[in-house]
Amino acid sequence: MTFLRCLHGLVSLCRTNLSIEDFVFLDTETSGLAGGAGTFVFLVGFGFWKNDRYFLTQIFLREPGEEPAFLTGLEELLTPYKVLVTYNGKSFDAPLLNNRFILNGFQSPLKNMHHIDLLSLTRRVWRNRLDDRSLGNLEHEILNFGRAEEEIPGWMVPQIYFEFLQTQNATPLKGVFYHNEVDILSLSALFLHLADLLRNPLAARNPQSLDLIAIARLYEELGDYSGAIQLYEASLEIGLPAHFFIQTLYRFASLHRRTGKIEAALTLWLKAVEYHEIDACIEIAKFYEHHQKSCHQALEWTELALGYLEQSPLPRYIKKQKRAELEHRKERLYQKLNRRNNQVTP
Amino acid sequence: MPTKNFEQIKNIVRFWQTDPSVSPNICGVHVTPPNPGQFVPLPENLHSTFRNTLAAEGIEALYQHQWDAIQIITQCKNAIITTGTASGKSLCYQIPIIDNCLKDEESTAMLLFPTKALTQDQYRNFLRFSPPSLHSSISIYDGDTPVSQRKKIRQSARILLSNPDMLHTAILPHHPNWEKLLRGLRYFVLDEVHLYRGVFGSHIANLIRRLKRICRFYSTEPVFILTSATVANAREHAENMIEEPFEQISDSHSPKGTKYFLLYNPPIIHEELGVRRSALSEAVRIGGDLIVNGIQTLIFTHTRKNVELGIKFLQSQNPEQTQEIFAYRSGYLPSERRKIEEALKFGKAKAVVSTNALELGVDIGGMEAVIISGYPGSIAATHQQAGRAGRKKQDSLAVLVASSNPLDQYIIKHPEYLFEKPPEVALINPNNPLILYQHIRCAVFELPFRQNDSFGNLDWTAIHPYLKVLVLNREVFPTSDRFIWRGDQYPSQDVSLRSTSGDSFLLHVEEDDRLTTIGEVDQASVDWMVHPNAIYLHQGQTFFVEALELEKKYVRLTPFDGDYYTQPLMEQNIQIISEERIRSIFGGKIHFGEIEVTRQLKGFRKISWQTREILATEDLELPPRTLRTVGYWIEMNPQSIQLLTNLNLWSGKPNNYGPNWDQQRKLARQRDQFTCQLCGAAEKDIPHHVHHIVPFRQFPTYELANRLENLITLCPACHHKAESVVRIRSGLSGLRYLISQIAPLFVLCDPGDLGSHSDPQSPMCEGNPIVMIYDNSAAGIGLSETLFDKHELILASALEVAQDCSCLDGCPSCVGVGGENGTAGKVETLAILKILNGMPLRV
Repeated sequence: MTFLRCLHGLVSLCRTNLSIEDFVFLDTETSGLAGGAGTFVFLVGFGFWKNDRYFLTQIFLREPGEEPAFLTGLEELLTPYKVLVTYNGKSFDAPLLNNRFILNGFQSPLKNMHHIDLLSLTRRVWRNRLDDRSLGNLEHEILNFGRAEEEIPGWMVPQIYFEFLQTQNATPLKGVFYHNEVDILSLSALFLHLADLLRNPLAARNPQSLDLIAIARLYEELGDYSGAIQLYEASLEIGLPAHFFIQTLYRFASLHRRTGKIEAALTLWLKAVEYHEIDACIEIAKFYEHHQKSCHQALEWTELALGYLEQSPLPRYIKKQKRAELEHRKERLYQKLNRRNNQVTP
Repeated sequence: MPTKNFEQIKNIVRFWQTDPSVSPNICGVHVTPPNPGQFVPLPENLHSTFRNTLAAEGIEALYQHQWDAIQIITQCKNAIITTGTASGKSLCYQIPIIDNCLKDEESTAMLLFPTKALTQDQYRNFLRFSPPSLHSSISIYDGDTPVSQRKKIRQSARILLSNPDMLHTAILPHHPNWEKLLRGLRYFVLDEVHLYRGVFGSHIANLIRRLKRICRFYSTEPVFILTSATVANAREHAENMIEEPFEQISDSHSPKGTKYFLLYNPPIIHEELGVRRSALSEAVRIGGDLIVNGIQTLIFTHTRKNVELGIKFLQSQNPEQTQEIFAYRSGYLPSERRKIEEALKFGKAKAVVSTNALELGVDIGGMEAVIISGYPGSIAATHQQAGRAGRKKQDSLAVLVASSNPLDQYIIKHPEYLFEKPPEVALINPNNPLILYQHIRCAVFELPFRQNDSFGNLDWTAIHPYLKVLVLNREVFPTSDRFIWRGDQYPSQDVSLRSTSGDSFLLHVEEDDRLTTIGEVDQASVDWMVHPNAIYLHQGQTFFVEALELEKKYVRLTPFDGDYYTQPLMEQNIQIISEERIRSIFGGKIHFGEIEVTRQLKGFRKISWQTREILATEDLELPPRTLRTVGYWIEMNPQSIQLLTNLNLWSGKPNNYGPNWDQQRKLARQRDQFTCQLCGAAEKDIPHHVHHIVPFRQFPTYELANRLENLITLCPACHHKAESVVRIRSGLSGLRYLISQIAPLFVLCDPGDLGSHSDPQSPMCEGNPIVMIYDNSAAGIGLSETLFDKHELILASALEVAQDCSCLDGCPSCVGVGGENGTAGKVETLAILKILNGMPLRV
């Protein structure tokens, strides 16, 4: 629900004539990975566009005692921007920065900005395709690039920073700066890629049907039904693995039913019946009962569903439950038929 | 109807006093006269909406003590409220908190309760008493709060109900998320502080130091409101815990009817052996008289097992009222416990058998009668349990039924101990180095330390060494002007405020292809309560333990209708791992070192419900539970023992029953037809015991002691009962009792924080006698090392206590008590103490 509200916010934001220059892409490096009051930020990197050129700035806390100055600088640098873009920033970077502002007696400037966390969006778009939705893996799978040897893994960052504080030798920090820099570059690239993909998913060079059905669902949730229909059709055309194919038939049919195109839905359910789908039989039975007022047909489809149920590999307890439901439906239809017969011959 | 109730208690007491089956057992009646109570109108300046809400709830006046408390609190003075059970303690803080939240939009309050049940109870009351406009600002934040609601609570809660563990792990480490609550913090309530003593209390005191440090950061200085059950030093305890001055409100002005407190000693069922009926069956018997008369009764008993036995007895005694009789204890599901609490409150439950789980302040309304089966072990707990009786102005009744335990028998014969002595003291030591160290770690995470910072009442010179150690451990980093946290983990994650593990095992019942969860068992009790093949009792129903899944932490039960129950056989063993310090003292040596206490369930007995005889004994192979900790032990040398033996003051040697013992024992069993002479159980595979009616040690020769007239055949269970009557304690066990009583005073802990052990021929010290005191927590927290350092002081004070005590032969305040017809060994203990203090022995 919260996500939908964000998404609506994002859409309305895009309609308020924001330019790309209002966006800032931010990532932090911290003294620990646990979060909480005892963790602080020592490096903030942010990317932005100005006059059609992309810039990347990093500010560094060379000594924890200078934190007030560091945060003042950060606040000033953030002032021109209206929208903050992060990866997992809603649960990590933003709360942590807010903590630091509070702990130093400042008001947090982040509270006045819109915040887009790409993590929740990528989770939705690539839900069917990628199990590992870390930024690193997206870089590899979606953006198609790798990191140089300088890269150091995120878990080593705190250790390297404290080594620096102790020795004042900044050389090992190079890897940390690189890590932060690439994170922001990927974040910015990912944002552009997502924006293109969401605007026109079919224009992609090699559209992935699994992504298309995920985006169709997004469109549906946003109320863009014609867009969703277009994507469902395209994905069925491209082809889908069996599980997703059936799932898409149902989703698509349900969208048709909600928009009053019951005949179109029927076609899809009939296609699902070819795969011995019990729920599709039930939907069709409902269609005959309520739309065609034909209890006989409805009964036939219910019987078919019961037949499929016996052969189905479902767990026993689910079968038991479904069977009870179907028997109940059958019973009800018989009663309805009898009543109707009685009425005809008083 | 109410008038009938008024007379009922008095009538039943009168009836008992004339009934020949009860009256001889009543050893004392303590009557507290009624108190009409003292009422005062609500404070003038209450917010008008609030006043209306209170009026709608029927609150138009206060008891005087509530008014006093509110005055103190609103004058921004800290208050500790110790008025008894059902005196309306909660209203003392609820009124100022709600009133203040209405008058000042910024103002907030935090309340910590020791259990989730109490938190729920308080939450309902806050909602009841506060106007609807405030309801969305009142929240519970505990382990059960759904994650989806937490953020909203952090941002909007103004009256937060939580527990110490949450403050420790969830609130303080994330204090910036709680900025609003902390910036407005006007009142801080800590409920039931008598529970926070010893090691647990020392943790809580440091948690308060951390809280106050964070409050200072947000420029707040909350007023502390504490409540407590009876302890001897409530105000001092509050001041130690919060490190601020307190005002105490202790005199209750709530109306009370006459209160009858009866001391009841079960009748002797075997004259020769002096064995009495069990406390539980007597509690059930007299409970029956109350239930028949429609008097709502609460029966307290020690153990969870006894609760289940009690309800079985009670239900079979009152078959018509089975539906109105309940059991209550830890291990039941929260929903079931709430149901029973409600049934008590609204009178649907006529009788409840409970452990001390109901002793805490969960609101169950006042009972008409309370029966305490067996002395609960402390004066404070006795008063707390008895205090559950008393409903407004009606008369009430409390009965203490003594068990055959020597301590119970002492109390029942010396009622002044219960009614005149002050209750136990609550001790804490916030400056225990190991506890302090853990909390300074947590505090650095919450806010960096700067030079000349303080922590509670400790100044920079006291805390700086700890920070230096943390720097060496690479958990803290010193910058030019402060100490900051550098570890990767939340420090509070691996600091547990409580010594017990929070893990519990779920109890699943398999029946008709369905799996239902009926309750849970805490980790520490799993072995003995739900070992494989055990019979587990729940609300009087019996279940058979099919499997105990140690890894997956659950227990599989099936309903059982056999005619027996089971009794576990535990074995405890102590081993020395390494000896770190040793020192010579008068009469022996003292040691300090690492020890391992091993407890293992070796097997169990099947016992018949009908006859109580042992049907079988079975072995079990379960992994042992070990506690690696530290201990301090006193070893007596052979010269001291020789000296004591010469003066006939040493009874530590095991009895040698003489060469004719085997023969006499067989003859006695033959004469008694291999049947227990007390319960009538016949001998099965294992031979019955043969008991000396007059203890062996009281005869000059074995021939005299082993005469057939002095021997009687008893089953093991009855033998145990008979033995406890004539228990003769050795001087050494008297010394162990005395030292474990006074040791907490030297290290400011709770008696439960220390374990003790004595052995007249210890394999740990080449067969010499030892008395050992050890830290009762994994790895220990340094209590026994302090005892080692203070040895001379402790021994001197032990001698003083025993010498100055006016009792003739032992009492609970000095060397402990012997069996009803036995001896406590006070003279022997005194002799040992003189030797260990380097004093001459004169007889």
